[in-house]
Amino acid sequence: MFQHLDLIRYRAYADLRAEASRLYVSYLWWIIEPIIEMLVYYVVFSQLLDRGGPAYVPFLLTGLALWKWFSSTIMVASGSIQRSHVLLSQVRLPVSIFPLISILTSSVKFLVLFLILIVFLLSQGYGATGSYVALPLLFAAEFSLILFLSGLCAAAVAIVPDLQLILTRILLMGLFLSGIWYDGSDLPESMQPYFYWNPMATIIDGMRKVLLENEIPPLGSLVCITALSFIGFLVVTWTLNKYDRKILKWTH
Amino acid sequence: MDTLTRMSINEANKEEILSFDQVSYFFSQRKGFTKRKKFWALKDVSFNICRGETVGILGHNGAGKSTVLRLLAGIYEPDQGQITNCGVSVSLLSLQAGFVPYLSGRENSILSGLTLGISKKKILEEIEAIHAFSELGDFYDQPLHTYSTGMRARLGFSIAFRVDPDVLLVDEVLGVGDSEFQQKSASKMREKIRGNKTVVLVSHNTHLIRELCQRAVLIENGHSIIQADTETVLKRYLESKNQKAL
Repeated sequence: MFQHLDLIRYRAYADLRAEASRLYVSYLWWIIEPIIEMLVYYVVFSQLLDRGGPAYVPFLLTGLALWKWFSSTIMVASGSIQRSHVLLSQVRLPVSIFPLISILTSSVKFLVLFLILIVFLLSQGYGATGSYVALPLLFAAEFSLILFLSGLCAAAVAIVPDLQLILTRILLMGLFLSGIWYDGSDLPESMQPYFYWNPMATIIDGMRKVLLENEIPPLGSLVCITALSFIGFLVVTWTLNKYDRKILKWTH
Repeated sequence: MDTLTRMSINEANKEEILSFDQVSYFFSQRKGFTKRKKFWALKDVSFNICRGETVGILGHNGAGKSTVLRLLAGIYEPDQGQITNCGVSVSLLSLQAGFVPYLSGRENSILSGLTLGISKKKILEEIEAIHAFSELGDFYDQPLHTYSTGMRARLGFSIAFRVDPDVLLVDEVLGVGDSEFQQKSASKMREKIRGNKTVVLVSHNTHLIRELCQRAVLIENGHSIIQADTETVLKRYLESKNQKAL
């Protein structure tokens, strides 16, 4: 895979450039699209349903930004091997590089979104504090989780395309179960341990602690998510490389 | 083809660098929810390639010639039998691999070159040579979707031609683009093939096979029928072609 790093980087750049070239306002869509999406949630939950008071908007936007990075990357990466089938029949390339290209593309867009979120939070009086030292660990946890699940979903969808439809529903369920609109601590106490079994709920909760409450998140849980996800990623990559040609043969 | 026949062909004691030994490959077609139908594209195909020679692969449409090249390139993996590679790099000449319509010719040169396995350093060193060879002029920095089919073909060839593996696999592609560029690209390819390079060439063009290949393999219905000197194989191929025509 390392010998293809230049290709992964350039392909991700090409995808971003191509996407921007197709649209009238080009790269501005990276900012406009998530803002529109967040605005929809803001209008529904903050204005129509009148939830949470003035602190609710930063709370909602923090959760949404992280969820968007996770879900949009998994969706794009899951179809990446299938979409590259023609190219894979022309040139000898490892299938494992295609989910990585999608991850890189989506992560660049997320970084832009995250910077906008930070600017918004600073404008709302949330200062950058010492708790920001935990940000790399939060990013590492979510990035590792994305690496692991993207490879797994890409291989599964390549062989059984129907799984992409199921994946859409699973991600929708994840959206409801990850505490985007509500705080996990508002759940009944008996439910809370189960709620935090969802790694995205732990990561989103941790990010809110850092950005909104100036607190250090539960480091043990985050290290555990990072380590397990990274091991999962290594196992998936090893399997993809080992059964590389078989996956290509059974790809639809 | 038995091993003795194959060995007698190697009378010059050339160094064998690639070999197919009873190789079979099937494509799978889904038939219903759980059922799949196997279509054997190749069955027990055997032949060998020696360093520095040009070998032609002959056969009618659908005989399995392109599948042979993809197996040689490592794109497919045999379902039965064995392919032995004595440590040589093998590449299929792929035109327009990985092209993105919204990127310029220059950006596509880098992208396609990386896709074909050329290092970024080498592509950047040769990018002006690619530009000049493609004869695209100012269009080189314009998006690919503004190109005509011929212009795309010229760019594709100019990049793919830079790939320099130990064994080059060519599937019918010799000259591309308009008639002038076709002559230029075909002449460059002939130059490359006639050099010291090991080449496996698939073509229906018997004149071309006669002109460029020292040996040939005839494949029919997924089976290797004969591997011998070019004239012998061409004779057998033309006989079989005439029989089919009757």
